[in-house]
Amino acid sequence: MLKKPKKIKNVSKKTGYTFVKKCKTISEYKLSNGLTVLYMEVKGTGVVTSNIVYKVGARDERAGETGLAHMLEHMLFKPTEADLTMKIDSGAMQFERETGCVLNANTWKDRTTYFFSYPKVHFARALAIEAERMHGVVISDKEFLPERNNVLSEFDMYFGDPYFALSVEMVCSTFHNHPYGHETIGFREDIERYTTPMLKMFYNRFYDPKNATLTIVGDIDEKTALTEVVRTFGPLVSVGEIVRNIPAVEPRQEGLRRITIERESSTNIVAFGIKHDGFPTKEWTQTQLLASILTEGPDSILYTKLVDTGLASKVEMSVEPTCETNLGLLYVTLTKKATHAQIEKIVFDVVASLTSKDITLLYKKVQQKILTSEILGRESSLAITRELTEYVSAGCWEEYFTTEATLKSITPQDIIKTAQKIFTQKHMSIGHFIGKK
Amino acid sequence: MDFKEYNSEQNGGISITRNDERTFSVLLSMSYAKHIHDIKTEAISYVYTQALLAGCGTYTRAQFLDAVNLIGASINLTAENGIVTISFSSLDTHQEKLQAQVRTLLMSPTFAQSEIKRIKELVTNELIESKEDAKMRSLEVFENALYTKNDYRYNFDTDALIAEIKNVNKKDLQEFHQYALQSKWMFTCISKTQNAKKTHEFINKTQQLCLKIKVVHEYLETNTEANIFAKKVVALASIPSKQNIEINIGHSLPFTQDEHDYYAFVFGLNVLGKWGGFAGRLMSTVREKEGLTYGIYAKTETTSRVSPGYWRIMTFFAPDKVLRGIASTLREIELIKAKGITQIEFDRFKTILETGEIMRGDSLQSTARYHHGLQMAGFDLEGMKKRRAILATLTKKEINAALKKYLDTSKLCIACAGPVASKTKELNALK
Repeated sequence: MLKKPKKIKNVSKKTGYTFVKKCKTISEYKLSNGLTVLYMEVKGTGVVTSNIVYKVGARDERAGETGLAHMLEHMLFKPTEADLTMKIDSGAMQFERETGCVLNANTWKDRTTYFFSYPKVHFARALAIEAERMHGVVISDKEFLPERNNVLSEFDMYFGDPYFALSVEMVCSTFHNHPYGHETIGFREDIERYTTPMLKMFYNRFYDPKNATLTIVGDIDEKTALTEVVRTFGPLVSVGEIVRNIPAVEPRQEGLRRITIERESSTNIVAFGIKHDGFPTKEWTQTQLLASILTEGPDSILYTKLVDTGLASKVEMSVEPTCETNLGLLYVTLTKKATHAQIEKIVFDVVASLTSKDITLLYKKVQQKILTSEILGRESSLAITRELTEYVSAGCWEEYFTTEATLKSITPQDIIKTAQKIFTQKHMSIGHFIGKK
Repeated sequence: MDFKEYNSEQNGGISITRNDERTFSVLLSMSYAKHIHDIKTEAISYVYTQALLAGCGTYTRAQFLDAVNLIGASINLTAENGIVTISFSSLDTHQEKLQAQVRTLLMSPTFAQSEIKRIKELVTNELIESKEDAKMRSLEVFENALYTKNDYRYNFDTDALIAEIKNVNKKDLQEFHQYALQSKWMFTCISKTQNAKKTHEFINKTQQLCLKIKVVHEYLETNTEANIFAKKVVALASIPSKQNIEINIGHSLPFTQDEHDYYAFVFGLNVLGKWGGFAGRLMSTVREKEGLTYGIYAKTETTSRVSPGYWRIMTFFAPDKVLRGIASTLREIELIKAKGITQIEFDRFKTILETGEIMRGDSLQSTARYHHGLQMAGFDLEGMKKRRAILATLTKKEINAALKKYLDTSKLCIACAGPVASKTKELNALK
């Protein structure tokens, strides 16, 4: 028996939504069923992007069900009850096939997101599809089993990549208790063992208006947008509070952890796993700045030390936006001139000897690049919603506007301190990919 | 957004502007491979793209990077398919500074010996790594089956290229640079409305300063014809370290973008395998119904107003599914050739085409890339408009006739790269 939905106080009976706050160009609203709505107008393009973020991801999976959030993401493109009544394959796919709209979805550690980008004339249809599939997807063996093959194909596509293979092993070795310890796609062994009831339970548990934020960015006026949101999403019933797994705390790491992968390949890689704070804290930004200073562009420190000297063919570092402490990865791809041990020594020596003076000019350049990239990058409704998704997932969408202020508050000394903290060997993991001919 | 066009014997360009635009971007292309496609030129082009950014005027490489990065700008260079493209961008407040930096780059690149030595090693390492890129290798063996060595689409053996790179010197780079500069400069730029003229003036002035002699060659043309296959060709590249086999299937085409059949064929090919998304038939069948792959798409490539190109399907299959996957793909090609597209598909894809036009309005960058691609294929704004009109007025009859006439499954090239060793016999039997 369904619980009665709790009404959000002060929801206007006339409009069906309540205004929460506005920050610069984005306004936040709430429906009575708990759905959060963000709205931003971009005039004159003729295009709208609507995007829904569910606060569910790899972190919500237990052992044996890794990758379930991602599998479910695939299922959201299968027929709903309404689709079956109309005898169509899937409303979402039909929408793309009939209109040429852009659609996609992705799953990450803390969230799953779905978007449509389309000419504004299709706004009502896009919202109707999104609302319908929040609760209405029919999860059956007939739809699930072939789609699992597609997910297995996707897994195989990633797993052949040595960088991905390393990251899988390194997150496992880093997180013994915390659910960030597996990749979003899950382990192949778990994917092969999914059942339809498992998927249904996961779907019913997490796909709820209270657990979702709908973002609308584009060439549509606010009144029209919100009226349609209330019409399509308003009738959805929340089944109550979302029941999450008991939060797991990662035990303290007391020493360096090492992993090795050997495969038939001519590629050799050293990966350094560093723990970074959650997004979008100042500490996270400091780590991202450090990553840029170390590896981004031909004037970055490790590029100069390793690529210019012929010891590596490339260096790259990823610091992902996750809600909690996660593992950032610095990859160095070796050339024949270098050994794994040599690269390890050089990287640690370089980081240990960094001074504020070394990085001041680089930091100025990185700041300018970030600020310019942000403006260049926020030039379409699709790009805006993609970036906003991570702030929504972190529960602080207003931080979308704070890049410049955050950068101004960080000094080169702050970045040095971050480097010293995260490149402490006893908190790290190191991976060697050894190519055997 | 507003469009303005410029055209002269020396250069041609399109400005895309908005009154309140905060950014400035330019795509500037010059062709260099009208008559030249040999391993030496290819080797030089690999070194050139890095060398041009490794010091110019009074700047060392580090100083130039500092100057560009301190204004938050970026300058990138590619040299592929016979075309050098420089893309540069910044905030609009730095337009003049960035233009000045690009002018120095084009007018007086240093090509210092120490930098050439460093770059040759860097490029060699990148090429060694690329040997295991199965997607790239599959496309390489595909194109090499279609074209002979003196066609710009032919890909030289990586080891031979690495050996040739060792011979690249300063004089080679200087000559290559001058040769590229001497072609007609084609540009697409994004800027504030009031700054549009500044960009054209910059291009004109820079070109005058750079050129030692008059423009001598125009758009890229190929003087080679594609190979004629008597039957199916199977081209394999073994990369045992990979999980999946990367596939390219297709063949050369006999028409240019100046011919009506090109548009009819492209429309039909879109129905078969629209690039990206789930709308194409191949995604519905080979992926959704049969679960054989994650993504499968089709498109035409390298066709301009002057020279024909080819079409290909791109996908991957796990080794245990590769034969079924190829069989299913060939089945779909046969089916669309024999039966054509349906009325429903015709109506849908007309809408999809219209939607594509509208969606470009969401992004200036995407609009600029689209227009620049068509510019390099030989179209001005009026030509692009005519092109859109042709696509909009195609009939189902024309599309099905083009599919029937030009799809030839008996003469396909099937290129596979990855862990092919265990399937070599069966794959070769597909010939």
